[in-house]
Amino acid sequence: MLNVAFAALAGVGAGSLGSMLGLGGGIFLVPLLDLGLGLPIENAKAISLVTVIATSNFVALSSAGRKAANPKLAVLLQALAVAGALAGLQVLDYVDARTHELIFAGTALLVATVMVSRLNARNVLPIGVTDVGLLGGRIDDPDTGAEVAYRVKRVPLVLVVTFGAGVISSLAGVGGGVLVVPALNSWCGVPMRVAAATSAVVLGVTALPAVVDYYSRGFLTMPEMAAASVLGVLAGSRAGFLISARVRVRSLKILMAVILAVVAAKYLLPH
Amino acid sequence: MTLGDRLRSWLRIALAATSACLAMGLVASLLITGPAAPVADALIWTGLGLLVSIPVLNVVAVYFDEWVQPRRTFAWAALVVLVLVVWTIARRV
Repeated sequence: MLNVAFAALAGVGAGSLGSMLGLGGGIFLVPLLDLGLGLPIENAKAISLVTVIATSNFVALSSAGRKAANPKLAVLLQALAVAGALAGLQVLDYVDARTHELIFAGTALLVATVMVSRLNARNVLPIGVTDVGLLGGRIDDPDTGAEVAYRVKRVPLVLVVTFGAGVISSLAGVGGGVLVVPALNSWCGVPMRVAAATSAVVLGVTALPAVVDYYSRGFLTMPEMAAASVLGVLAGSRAGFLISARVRVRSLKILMAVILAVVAAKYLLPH
Repeated sequence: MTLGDRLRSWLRIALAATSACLAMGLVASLLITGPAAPVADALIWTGLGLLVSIPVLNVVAVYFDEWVQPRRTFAWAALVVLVLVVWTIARRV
């Protein structure tokens, strides 16, 4: 009973942070279930991947999420992310648990560093520019209260990163947003809110092959814990979306970097 | 309203049904013991099954949207995603 309540609360936290930052929440939920509840990491990853799909569904189907996300970019990234996820599943059997943890920690640390190095990047075009290119778009920016336009730069780079995110998704039990959001925001000129919403839409499909694989390997064996986490994540996603519209982008980036650094440290230290 | 929009409105209902199944299953698993206990598991697995099918159907909705725009490059990308996902599921299940 207490474990189920903890899983639901962990889901609320992971879902709210995940929907705010476009991460799906897996990077927060895996350590909470693994280190907090003592679940084996494979089971924690299986539950986490299911909750990643829950966050993604919420963002993809909510009107706010659909306004912020870039559907053309999302579908291109989905193709690469799913291919990456399938590649990751091929090497899953050859990587031990400690290596999984180190991959997870290294990824989180890398992302935290990139976020801090690009705290003030705004990624919007000057007012009056109408050509947003094939993949660009426009959004209402709560920071300025105006509609802003953006272009997507360095598309091949983000396609490669997204393939890598798919691999990491299968290995680490996270959605892969930890790589996609910073890549879109820091290197490709996509505003943070668009990067977060687009990434969240991509993650659901990315996590799907891994969920099926973990299920077929017998790692999705705690339906009550999965249900509690998913319900928590769905409630948290709603809260996270409301909060993110009222928080400055710079604060979102700092929050993301701090959390990722803490998670990385937790896994890098021997336990 | 496009075919994609119509499908998405059904998916919103499916997401609500997912939450309902999971919540009822969770409550039942905590309260019911004995021969009726498998009902709780069945509700939870139904909810989880619905949950994981939504992203696939959402890609179908994107495919319809992009095909009628017409932005065929993106429609083909959606089709590639669908083929990869369905192939993976078919292989594992």
